[in-house]
Amino acid sequence: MIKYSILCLVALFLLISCDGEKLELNPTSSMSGSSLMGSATTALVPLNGIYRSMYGDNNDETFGPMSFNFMNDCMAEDMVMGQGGSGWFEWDVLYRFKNYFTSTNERCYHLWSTHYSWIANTNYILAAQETMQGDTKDVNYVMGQAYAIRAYCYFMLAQNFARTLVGHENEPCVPIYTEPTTPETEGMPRSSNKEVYEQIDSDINKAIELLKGTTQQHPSHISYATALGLKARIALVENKWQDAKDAAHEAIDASGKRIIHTSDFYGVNDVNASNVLWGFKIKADQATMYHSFFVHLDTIQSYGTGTPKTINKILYSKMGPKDERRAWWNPGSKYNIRDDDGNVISGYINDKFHFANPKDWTGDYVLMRIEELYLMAAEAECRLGDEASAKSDLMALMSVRDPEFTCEKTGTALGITSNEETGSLLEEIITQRRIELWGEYGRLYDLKRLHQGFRRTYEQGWCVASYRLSNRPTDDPECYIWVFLIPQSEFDGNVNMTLENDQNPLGDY
Amino acid sequence: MQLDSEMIDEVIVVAYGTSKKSSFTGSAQSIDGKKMELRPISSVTKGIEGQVTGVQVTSSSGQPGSSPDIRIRGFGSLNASNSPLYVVDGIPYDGALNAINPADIESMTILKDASAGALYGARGANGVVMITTKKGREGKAQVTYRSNVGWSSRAGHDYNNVDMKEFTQLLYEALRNGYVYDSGFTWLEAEAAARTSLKTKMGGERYNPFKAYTWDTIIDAATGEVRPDAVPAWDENWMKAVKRDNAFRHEHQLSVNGGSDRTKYLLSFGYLNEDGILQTTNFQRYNTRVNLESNVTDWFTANANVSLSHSISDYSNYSGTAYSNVWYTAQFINPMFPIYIKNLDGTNELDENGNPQLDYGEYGRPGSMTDFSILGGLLDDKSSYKSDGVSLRSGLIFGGDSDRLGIFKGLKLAINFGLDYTNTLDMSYMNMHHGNQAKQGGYIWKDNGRSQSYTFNQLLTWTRSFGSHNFNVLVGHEFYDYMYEYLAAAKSNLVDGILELRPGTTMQEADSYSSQYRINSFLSQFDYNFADKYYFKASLRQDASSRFYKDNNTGTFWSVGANWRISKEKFMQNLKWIDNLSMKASYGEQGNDELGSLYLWQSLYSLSYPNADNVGGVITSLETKDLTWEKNGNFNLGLEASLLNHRLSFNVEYYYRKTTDMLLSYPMATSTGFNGYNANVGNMSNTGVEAEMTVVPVSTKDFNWSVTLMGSTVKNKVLKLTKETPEIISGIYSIKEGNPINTFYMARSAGVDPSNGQQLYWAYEKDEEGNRIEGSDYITADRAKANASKYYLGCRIPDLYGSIATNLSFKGFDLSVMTTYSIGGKIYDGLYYSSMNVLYVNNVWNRNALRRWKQPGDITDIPRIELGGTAISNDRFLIDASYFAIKNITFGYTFPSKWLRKAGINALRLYTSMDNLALFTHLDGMNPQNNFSGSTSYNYTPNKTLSVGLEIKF
Repeated sequence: MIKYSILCLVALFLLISCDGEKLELNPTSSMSGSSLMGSATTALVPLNGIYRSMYGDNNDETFGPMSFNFMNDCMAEDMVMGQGGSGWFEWDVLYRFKNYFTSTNERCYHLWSTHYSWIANTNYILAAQETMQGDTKDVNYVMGQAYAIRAYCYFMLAQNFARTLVGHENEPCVPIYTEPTTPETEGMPRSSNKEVYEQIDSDINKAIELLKGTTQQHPSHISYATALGLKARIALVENKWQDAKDAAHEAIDASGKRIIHTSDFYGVNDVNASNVLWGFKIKADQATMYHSFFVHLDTIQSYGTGTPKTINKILYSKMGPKDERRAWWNPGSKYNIRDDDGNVISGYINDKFHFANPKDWTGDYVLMRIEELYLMAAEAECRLGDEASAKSDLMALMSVRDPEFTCEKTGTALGITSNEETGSLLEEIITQRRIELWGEYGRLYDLKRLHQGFRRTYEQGWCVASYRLSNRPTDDPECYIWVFLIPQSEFDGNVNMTLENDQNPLGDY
Repeated sequence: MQLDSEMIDEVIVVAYGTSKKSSFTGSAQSIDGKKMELRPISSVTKGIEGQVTGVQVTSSSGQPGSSPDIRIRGFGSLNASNSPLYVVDGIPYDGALNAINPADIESMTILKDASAGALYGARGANGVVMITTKKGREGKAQVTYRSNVGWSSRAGHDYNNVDMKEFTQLLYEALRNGYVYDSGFTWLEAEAAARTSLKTKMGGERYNPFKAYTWDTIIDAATGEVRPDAVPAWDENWMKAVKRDNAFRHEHQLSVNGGSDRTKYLLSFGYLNEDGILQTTNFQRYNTRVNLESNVTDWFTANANVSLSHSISDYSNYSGTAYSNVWYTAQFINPMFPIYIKNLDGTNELDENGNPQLDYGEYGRPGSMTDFSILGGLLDDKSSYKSDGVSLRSGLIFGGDSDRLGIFKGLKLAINFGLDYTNTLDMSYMNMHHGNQAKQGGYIWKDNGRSQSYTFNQLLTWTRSFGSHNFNVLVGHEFYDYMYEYLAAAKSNLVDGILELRPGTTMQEADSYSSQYRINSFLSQFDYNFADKYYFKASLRQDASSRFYKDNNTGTFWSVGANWRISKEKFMQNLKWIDNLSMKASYGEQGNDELGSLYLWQSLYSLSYPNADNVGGVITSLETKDLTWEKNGNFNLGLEASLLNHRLSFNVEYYYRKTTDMLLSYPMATSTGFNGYNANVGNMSNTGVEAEMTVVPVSTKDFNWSVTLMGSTVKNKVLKLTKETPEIISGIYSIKEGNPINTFYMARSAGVDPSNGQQLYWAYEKDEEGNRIEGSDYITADRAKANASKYYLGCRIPDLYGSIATNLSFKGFDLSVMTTYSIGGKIYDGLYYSSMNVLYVNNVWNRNALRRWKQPGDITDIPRIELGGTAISNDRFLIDASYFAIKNITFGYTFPSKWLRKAGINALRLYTSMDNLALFTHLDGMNPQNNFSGSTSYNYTPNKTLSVGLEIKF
């Protein structure tokens, strides 16, 4: 009996001893935000997280800014898809994305949600501005970048989800958030184009102010010069020519970068090249394999050959015979699409973009290089009537690209469509932009801000009849064919937006 | 019929104890392990289908060793788990279901209501599957050996696709229609253009199987039809090339069982080797179990039950529309594409050794599959999954029922410890010779997952009877801890033939993390019965889960239930034909905390975002401290009877289940950076009737025959969602207040326009709130209007489902047949849709496409053929989900024991079994049990298996 009672006691003790067990557990794959925002050193973690997710992948066609720029190339006339292959980016070529706005795995959704996710991440960083510990310069380095990223995101959203600012100032654009999101955060209504660009201006100006005097720690980080470059891009859309010119020149001076020969940045895949202001370094174990830019373009990879990305042949013919950029395309490639007589009927296939190493899928993403800054300055100066400076900035680039290049053109006239040529100086600057930045800047963004339409033609290389979109209004810069739909998920959760009143037109008008 | 006593008053294993079935207050149904041990099933849950009411089961993949999914009494939750809790020998089980040797199972009990399951309150909201393994039996050691061999092939039918000539015809029409309706050609121009463009579309004359004609002459211009005398030079079915006919399966079981009145033991060993019907796929399993139980004294018992398992699964690591997924590619490939490279004359191009060579498309095979061969890809890429499992169930029981114990009589303290440990190693290799990773020199991925969970409980019970008053009281404490550790790495540029990371030159992935989950619980139960006539049971349990914030982590769950054995009443004693009649009712509440993440309430930055050499994190969730348990109220009413000396018995139950505080991702505007945060919102109900009847028409000494019928209904209704979102639409599904979960929501077909063969749709006008105005429906060809005019078109949930089974025995012969049926419900067959709306020249048409519109004036239900057409999802592809399946037929012969005794054999039985024998559906090829939401996917198709076996005891 005694033995029994003792055993019972032991057991009861066991029972009681278990009570205090800890139920507060923390994961090892994540950490809490409050601990990250404490100091300027740890706040680099959420900042780097944003940059990384800008080259992380959501699917085959969505891998951050590179994919959205490429998409805007595919939607215009210079990036000629030779044939459809498995269909990647084909719905962009065909403007079919509006049909799928309810899907959370298609274009409209990803374009919207990725930018807003980056905005939300910047809002958490910016909310800690007053409390963040650390050297002022270090805090400014974090905050300046957060402002610049937010400006960049609203700028991209505005360009994709509304018609261009100028001429449509009061049209609905996108909702604005500047406070950190909590479960109590209510969805905001769409602000007007004007309001959104005011927010963009305010953010980019703050970024420039804070980043001045800081040192870029990594090529992926937005530096003072990069922020100025972004400001120049924004100012061009706003038609603020003086701002664009000043920002571009200041960026050139501050960047410490220089124009280099195409052979010095072969493949456009190295963020450490002397002409790159901003870009993402792709390491082998961080590469996104098939869901990446070079997979779609590189001719060493099978997808870039089976679905050739080729240049508009009319545009190609604008290059002088000595233009070094001719090497960026290959008219003799066996992957060009040919007719039965062997004539190339597609455009000429890409030789500009290549993996740095196809064996490990590496190749950096270049998001801003100095050549673009010269072209932006030239364009702004041309608009301001200062043709001498415009030509000087244009020649700064062209003297490197083509020893025989000269330009005696004048004026700012542009055709209603890009097919109608005027022979103006402005048109020449734009043409050089189209060639220089082919595949890396989103041609359609330019067409929109220039109020130009386009027509895809067989002569350009659009050999697939359906891609020519002959019965769609691509020649009308005022149409809505390229204004994306807001994804269904937004309406599902936003009390201040309804499908009936706040959606963009489902059709082309 | 010699009805054994177990059947007359079946004892079933229930939560923390056992109960007599006739007097149980809750809803529980038991499956005898014997019903499974003779079937060729590799995973225990496959044995559940058709054996109990109220349980819906998917077919499971045909990959050997895979387990079907189970839903008990409908669907309890939108975003949180709907799966039942698995309990093995009294302790929640975290190991792999396919690690359990089905031959080790004594019985399975399905707990369906709160009275039965509330003691598993924490995670019992979706029902509980209790698995009880075999124990040692007192007496001389008995050895049982069982062996069976089987051959598998695809269950059900293949999709009915067009042959080569029909394909050519449809492709020609698709091209012609494209020229007419997209490019504006005249009919004659379009016909000519289509004839000429066949050649480019089909990759030149090498891919033309009709050698008597060229591509531009294969269509007779006069008739617009394929030349009737065209004969294909090859016909190489891709599915046939990758399938394994009569895939072999063999299984061997040995068990030893015995013991004294003090100590009992069971040892069991099992080996299974099963080939899949897809080449290269296989499952092998080794099992051992030791179960020891010792009554040390009359007040002290100790037991330990240890099971070890090791399994290796070879599988194909592709899914969906990846072209390496054979269930997409081989099932729906253009029938003209050969497996082997053809010469221009249609014969095989041979290599220097005279062998045919796989066609990787190097001669210009059209379509998007570059450098790909279905057979080459299957053989060259490799994936395998190894799993090692240990399960321990052990306990010490102090106390007993001996009078010697004085006031302690009937008082017992049980201390139980259960551990599940699983270690897995997954490997997948993409080859270096062809395909996506050829340029990278091959790619290998390995990951290791280690999961370990234990449950430690202390239960104090008191069982005493005072006259007609019988008491059973339980109080206890339980602690559960789960820990998972993960490690993965991948490299590319490998050495051929070595499936290891070591020689690889390029690191592609290196990752590890761990996660943890705990529950702390206090539980109690009070059982009382008066004179075996009136039964009452109440339970109360409190659980605290680490998934919730500390102030809100506790849930209290309870149940009350009563059973009235009417047949024991005096006024019933004269009714001799009634063996048993009882009525029961119960109500209670259970909980559910399984909403994805183990760290539900916290705001977290995911650290999987390093930016080159800088640590990076992105916010992934919002803080929700208020979050707490999802609750499930469960009402059950039942009537059970056994009549005419057990010749007729039936059991009818009605239930109403209501989920409240449903764990849901509360929708937020996507522009806030989040689509939602975890919250307790929304209500949903499930209600239904379940009936089971067994009739024994013949019961003589030599001849016995019984028939069992089961039928269940379930009606699901979403009662409340959120203020912002009374409806959640995702693709073709709508979840809306007032409708069943996952109601199909899509356009409605209105036939085909006879003038141009276009698909017509119904559309309607909407009022200011966006709702359909009744009677405003009109017919349109405008897809945008059709897309904006979707209709609610039913859901997958059947009106009635169940099983019909029969057992016959005559002397030593026995025959059992089990069939299942399901009536009502719909399936949206996306596979069928894709083969009626072909996008690329890669894919094939279903034979139903031959009914298509051909020329103006045709009246038909199938629109004109298009390639890459723009059809939208509509109800033409909603197929009646009803089916009838013959699940199993087993025929056996038991040798008379007098013959065997001389050989020292106690029993010998030979049997043959046909599993998954036949399936009758509304569309050939469609798997009606693919999932619970009613869609189909490019999955490994289920198998049917013919097996023969023997069982010997000595």
